[in-house]
Amino acid sequence: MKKASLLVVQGVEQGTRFELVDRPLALGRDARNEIRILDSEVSRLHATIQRVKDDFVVTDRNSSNGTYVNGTVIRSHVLVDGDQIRLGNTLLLFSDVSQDGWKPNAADRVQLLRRHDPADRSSIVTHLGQDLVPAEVRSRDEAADSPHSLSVLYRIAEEVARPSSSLEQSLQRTLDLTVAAVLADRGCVLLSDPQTGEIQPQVTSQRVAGQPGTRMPVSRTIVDYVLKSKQGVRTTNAQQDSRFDPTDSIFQAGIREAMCVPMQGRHQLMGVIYVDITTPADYLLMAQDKVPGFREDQLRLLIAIGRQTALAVENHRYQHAFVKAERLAAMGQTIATLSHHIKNILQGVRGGSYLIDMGLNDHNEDLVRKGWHVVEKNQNKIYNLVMDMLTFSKERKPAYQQAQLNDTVHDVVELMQARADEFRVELIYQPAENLPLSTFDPEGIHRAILNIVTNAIDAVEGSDHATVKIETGLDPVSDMFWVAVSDNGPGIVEDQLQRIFNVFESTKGARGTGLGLAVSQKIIREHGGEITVDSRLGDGARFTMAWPRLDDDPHSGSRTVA
Amino acid sequence: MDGLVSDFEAMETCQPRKDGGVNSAPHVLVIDGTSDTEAVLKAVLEPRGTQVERTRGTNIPRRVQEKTSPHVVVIDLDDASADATTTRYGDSHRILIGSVKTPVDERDRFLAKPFQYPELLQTIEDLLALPPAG
Repeated sequence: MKKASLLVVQGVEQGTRFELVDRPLALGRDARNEIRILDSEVSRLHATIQRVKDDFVVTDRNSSNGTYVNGTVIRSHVLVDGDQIRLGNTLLLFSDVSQDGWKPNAADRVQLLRRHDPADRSSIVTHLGQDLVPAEVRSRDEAADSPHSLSVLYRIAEEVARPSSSLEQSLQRTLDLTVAAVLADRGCVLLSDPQTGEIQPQVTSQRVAGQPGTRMPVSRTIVDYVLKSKQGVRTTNAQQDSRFDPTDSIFQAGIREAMCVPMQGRHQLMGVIYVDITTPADYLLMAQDKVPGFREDQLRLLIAIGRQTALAVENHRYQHAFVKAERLAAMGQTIATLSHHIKNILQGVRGGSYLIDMGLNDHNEDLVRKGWHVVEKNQNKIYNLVMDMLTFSKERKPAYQQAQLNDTVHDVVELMQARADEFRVELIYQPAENLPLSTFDPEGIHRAILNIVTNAIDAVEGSDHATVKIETGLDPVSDMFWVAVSDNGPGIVEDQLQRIFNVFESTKGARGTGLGLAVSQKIIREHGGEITVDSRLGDGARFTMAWPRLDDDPHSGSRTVA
Repeated sequence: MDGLVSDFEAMETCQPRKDGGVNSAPHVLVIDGTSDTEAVLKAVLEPRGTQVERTRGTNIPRRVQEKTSPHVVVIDLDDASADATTTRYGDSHRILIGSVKTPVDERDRFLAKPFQYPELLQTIEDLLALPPAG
């Protein structure tokens, strides 16, 4: 089942998607919010989102800087698909695919009339090219509608440029606006399949309710003409000589007029927009020869909309292709990096197994022990790799509880002592005195520190007087806890400093997964903090993890510290 | 003083020297890669009288050439720096280990990852039995 979601389109966590559920969700800077927004302009508890029947409602919770939906400050607002929510400097896109779920497929709502179909008696009454040279204003209606057309084009331009989770949603919003703007009864967008070239209904819109199950007739002859000539046309199904003949069957059913315009992209024709209007027979009798229908200026407007929509479709397809290529590249890199690292671990296991086998054959217990030590080390590597992958994925949620930071760091030091001894590295631990208990995710912080201490030991291995120092503290001014890991290794090249937190970016060659620092950063950011690095080439490095002391008095009053 | 000089100084008494000093104890140097390779080679070769050392970091060629002249150098191509992989270490034979097949001189050997340790040990023993590569 497809769910509603919020996608961060601007902000620190750009690209992160939060799925919305039936229970109310809190949005804010505080770590205890279900949707954590890492933005200093966002209040600790800024807003809530909750489902009310079939809708999601966002409500501001007396935030300092307000909650905006589509640029307007709100107190409470029912969200619709495509709405943009701004909290501080963070922009979230609301998507709710399920809102369209009840709608039947566009193809089921459109009847593409075959060529020479007896029902297709449309004929072209006007055709216009895409070069929209300024036309002479022919009527008062046209003159009065000029500002309206500009306004429509502006709104369409806004609409097609608006972030959207799918092309269909974007086209639907554009078509709804178009049908309303040209006062059509119905409309549909037909797109050419990029592979087959086959024209297929994509979305439909209906301004005037029709008979249930009625399909919108679309003349294949007209569509083909538009695709071939690349001209916009206005058509009618009334023949010139029989238009007002009351005995004509068309007259009995009402006269249907349609406009069909090409969607001309930069390089190719993307499809057509087709709208129609039906004038009922009784109206025809009263109106005599003043039959309301589409005007030429409306055709011009539709041609302009067709062009804009085509460019939007083209951009969407480019972006889709680009994202697909990026995703494939990222997947390839992930597989390559992880395979490489796992291969190295297996190589180590193979070495340990070899020694065990040799020791068993020679009844040499010492060899068996050495072999087992190698196997055990690589077993830990696999464990850490899996934990890093889980932490980096969305599987792991921080488990906040009251704990003593010094104890967590002490556990890391104890765990890393054997590795430090093996690499002849002196591990110095300087815990701050009287550090108070605080609320944090001990397992997460443990992993964040472990990764950085591991890196530090690897960095100093082989150096003279190799030393790694770990300190803790609480800054009374900023009220932030900190853990610093310093080493006297070779330091980090300046241009690498910018990249070291990128996933799969490793300075350790075959020995690094490129996950460690990215994972540490993710965990510290989950706590509302940051990792800073101070390093100069040849002069060691100092990584400082700092995060704010969490408020132990839950803002909502409904959540308690575990 | 560079990081590993003290390690190599400790080995001075038993290693062939640039100045012509001779010690027949075979010496295998592992450059970069994981410490597992060193651990396995040490466990197997040291009881047989072959000294195994591992080094990593910067300026490896200069540091190695200043102080020691190993008989066999095992280099992890996936991890080592370009200068460490292209340098010849005196008269030593080189065993290059990598994920991508790399052409090597007649006096050197290549092992593709993942390799079997008996294969690596056999290659080292074969090379130790050969005269110096120079």
